[in-house]
Amino acid sequence: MARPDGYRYLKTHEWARLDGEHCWIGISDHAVGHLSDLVFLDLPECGQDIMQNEPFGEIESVKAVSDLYAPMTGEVVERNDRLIEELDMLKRDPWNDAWMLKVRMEKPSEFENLLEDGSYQRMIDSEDH
Amino acid sequence: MRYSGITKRDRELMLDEVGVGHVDDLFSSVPDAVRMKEPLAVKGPLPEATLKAELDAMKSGAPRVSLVGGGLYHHYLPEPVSSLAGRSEWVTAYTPYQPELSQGTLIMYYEFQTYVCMLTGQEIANGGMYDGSTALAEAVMMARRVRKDALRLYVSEAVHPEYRQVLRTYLQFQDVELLLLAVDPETGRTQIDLTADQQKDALAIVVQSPNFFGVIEDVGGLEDDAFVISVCAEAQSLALVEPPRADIAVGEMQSLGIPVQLGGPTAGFFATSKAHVRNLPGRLVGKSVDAAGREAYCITLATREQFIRREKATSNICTSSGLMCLRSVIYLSLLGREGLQTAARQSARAAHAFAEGIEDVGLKRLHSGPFFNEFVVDAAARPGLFETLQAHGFVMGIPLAKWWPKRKDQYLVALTELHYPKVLELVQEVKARAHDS
Amino acid sequence: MRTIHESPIFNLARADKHGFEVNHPDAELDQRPLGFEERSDIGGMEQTTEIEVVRHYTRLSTVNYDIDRGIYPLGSCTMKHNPRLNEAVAADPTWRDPHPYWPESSLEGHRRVMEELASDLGEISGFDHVSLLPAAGAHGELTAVFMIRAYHLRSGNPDKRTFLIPDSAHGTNPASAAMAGFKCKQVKSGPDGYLRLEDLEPHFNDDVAAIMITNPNTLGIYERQFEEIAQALHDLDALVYMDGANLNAMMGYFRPGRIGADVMHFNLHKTFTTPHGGGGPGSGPIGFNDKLAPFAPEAENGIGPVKAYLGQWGMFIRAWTYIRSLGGTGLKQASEEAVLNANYLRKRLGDVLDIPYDTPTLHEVVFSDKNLPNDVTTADLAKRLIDYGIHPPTVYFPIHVKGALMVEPTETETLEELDRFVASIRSIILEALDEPDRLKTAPHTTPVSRVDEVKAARELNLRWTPDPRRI
Repeated sequence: MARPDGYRYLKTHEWARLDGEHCWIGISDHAVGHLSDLVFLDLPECGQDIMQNEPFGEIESVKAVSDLYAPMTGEVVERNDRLIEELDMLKRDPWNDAWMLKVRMEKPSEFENLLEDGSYQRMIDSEDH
Repeated sequence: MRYSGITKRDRELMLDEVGVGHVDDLFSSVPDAVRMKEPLAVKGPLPEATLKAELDAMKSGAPRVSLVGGGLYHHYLPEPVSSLAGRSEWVTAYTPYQPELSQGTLIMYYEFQTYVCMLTGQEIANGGMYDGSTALAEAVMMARRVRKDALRLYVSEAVHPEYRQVLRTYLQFQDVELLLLAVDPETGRTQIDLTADQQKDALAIVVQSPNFFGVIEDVGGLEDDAFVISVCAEAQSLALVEPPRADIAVGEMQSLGIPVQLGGPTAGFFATSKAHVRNLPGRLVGKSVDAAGREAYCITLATREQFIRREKATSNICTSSGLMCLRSVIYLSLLGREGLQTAARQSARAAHAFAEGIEDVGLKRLHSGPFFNEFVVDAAARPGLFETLQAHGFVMGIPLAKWWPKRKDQYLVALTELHYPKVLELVQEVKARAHDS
Repeated sequence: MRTIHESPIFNLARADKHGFEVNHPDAELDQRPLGFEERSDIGGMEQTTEIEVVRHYTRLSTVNYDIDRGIYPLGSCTMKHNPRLNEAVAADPTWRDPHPYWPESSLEGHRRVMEELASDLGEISGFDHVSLLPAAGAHGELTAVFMIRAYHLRSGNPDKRTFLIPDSAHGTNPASAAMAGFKCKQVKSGPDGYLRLEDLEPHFNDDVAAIMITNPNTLGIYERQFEEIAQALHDLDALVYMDGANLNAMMGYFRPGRIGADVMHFNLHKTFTTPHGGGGPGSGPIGFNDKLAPFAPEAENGIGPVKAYLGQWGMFIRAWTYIRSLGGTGLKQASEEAVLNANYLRKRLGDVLDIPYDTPTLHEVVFSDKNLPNDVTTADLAKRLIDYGIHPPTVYFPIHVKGALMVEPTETETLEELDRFVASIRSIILEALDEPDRLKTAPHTTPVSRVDEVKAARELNLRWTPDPRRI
């Protein structure tokens, strides 16, 4: 399945999408596919700062915990509390409703450091083999 | 070898199957230079009867009367507790990682969590810690996670001195300043003369109730935003004494169905509010359903634990104290509120009657604060009496000079429901010895 | 016979039932006021009758699996026979009831048992010093980690803050190290399943405080470069912690204290047959050399006590009894047969289960799920084993082996029981070919089937409440 346009990725499978001076942050379909039995999502509060490539939260399944890494640097202005309540949203559509954070970007140019869809897919392919 | 499963014949057959000539060949990966050449210099083997006789010869005599407490108390152990907890299905089972094969142990832990909540008035509790002292250390470590920037820890001087030492051990490499809160010499209660800001900024305030001197503390004056860790080393008191308001309540379960056994093993309890559940150390059992929709239990939130989260775990604890938790759960089920409160009242009454009775010979209680079943006696008026009694097999408490060299002639005396039927005789004996000396 | 469904005992408790009475009331004593306000309610606690209590805890016990029922081949857990003699001795009131604050004259026998146990553990492990104090294996690790930190601080090396930990290590290792403020660096095992000096060397620098090695490691493989690695660490003025979880493989064969380890822990509830009790209590003494002796909990300027009182006495006397029952020759034979039994299982199952490393193994063997047909997983195999009346081995550990199945039979199993295990596994693998669904939905014969762990974690219900309101 093709991924929607306008998204870029970290190697650790988090995505960012630009929206004016803000960006939206979530995790990719590939990451979701590898997570089963999700039970908990820990996201930072509004007002907190996050830094590109640094952990900003955790996602837990019954028997594993994964760190979530920030694709962009900035201040959290919104977080998706509905997703925290209803983790199954990730399975349905990781691109829109299941966003995690909305961030006021500090360095929009960081977006250029992220992987475009094609290179992201190549990375996944090489991981799987 | 007594417990060997295989015979000489089996051994030959198995070596043959594996394809080696001698069992030593299975150790071929261990370099020769490393291998022990000499036999292990360990005494034995002894057959069962000989071994028992040898052990019997090593036994020492117990005091005839012991009023020794200080965090470990001789309470009556009802026969059903040892009998049921001694069933090998409990004793020889492993940690319940396979829920289909361990519903018994899992339900027991769920009951333990429930009983701890009932006793402490807290919302959630874990499946037990090693003991009260380590539970306290873990509580402070948890406070570190919850209150990240706070560095000042206030600990009442009336917290069990060994617990305080353990706490110091755990914290010595951390950036935490441990400050002692003094005890009012009159009441025996902790003096918490901290400003509102000091309380708010503290990592935690640690108070034991009843405290080590037996006095029931009052933390009612603390600010709402102070983070309070309460310790209880005599769990029987929780039957009668309202637990203090606390953000984390920890303590020792030994009094509830666990033998003293020199202080170990026992079980610690650890309770707090729901909001802190992900910061809790130790094992948690939760209720769920099985594939057929039937009520079923399993270990839950294991992602906090060392075997999943490794260096980020909320604690390193793995094997804890299951069998001792089981004993306390059976004990509590057997006594219920009624039996527990009756036993607790009898402990308290025995202690109060003894304290009152020995006043006649000048042995005064040191403090004026309310107490449950333990108190400090000032024996300055009767020098040598403690030793005389001890020479006659009557150990009237613990000399506090053990921890406080200045507290000469002060003894910590504990009584329980075991002393209740004969407390007046004990008083008579003390009086008689006092008059003799 | 049908299993009776048992729910928490609180469902039977009522206010009009009577609890166990220790003493009859004494009217005169009971007149005395206590001087504090009495709590009337204990969080809703009520009474059950004695027969209810007896039945409840008897029925609950019967839905447990236990060693007395059959083989319990949990790798790394050393589930061996727990002798009845140990239990009887520990339950003797003369041994069981003494108080640590009693006069020393009443504790002489206990002191002697403890001294002899410490001395025997020293002899077995090759360490000159033993502290019996720690409450369990992980607690022993923590004690040792504190001692290591104290050692470096007193040597003027406060910056030695890194622990090297192989990927095959137990989770307690990094967790213990972190509790003393150490950073953990995970090191990959070599291609043959043991740790290689060359893989460690890139991590060597002035920050390295210690390495934590399990030997034999969690694959059951002897760490053949142990001495070289220990030497290299010592050259950095770093220390070597040996996780003693697998001591059952080495008694009388090699001694960690003589091959470069500075400190190790013992699990009395593994090697020395004290029972596991459904998750404890354990006992985790540590052995250490002269270098670390000044930092022991008991030393005058040491780290201080890690636990109140004298340690897990109830476990000491059981372990002492076990050691005396076997003697030096018996202990060596125990290790020998533990290794033989594990190798027998390896041989008998090696044709149907994948063995990820060819390297010889000692007391345990790790298989993987690589060869299992029809997408059957390690978990499926493990759950199906339950229907054969056998407790599954340790699964998905060590973490660096995909779908690990870690088997440790111990020396107390009989050949018949080992063969029953082999036959069960082989039969399950045949089932996996023909009717994989039988495995995927297993177990079928237990009082409950697979438990919904997602629901348990999402909808936390951690205590009984009188109404269905969740807490």
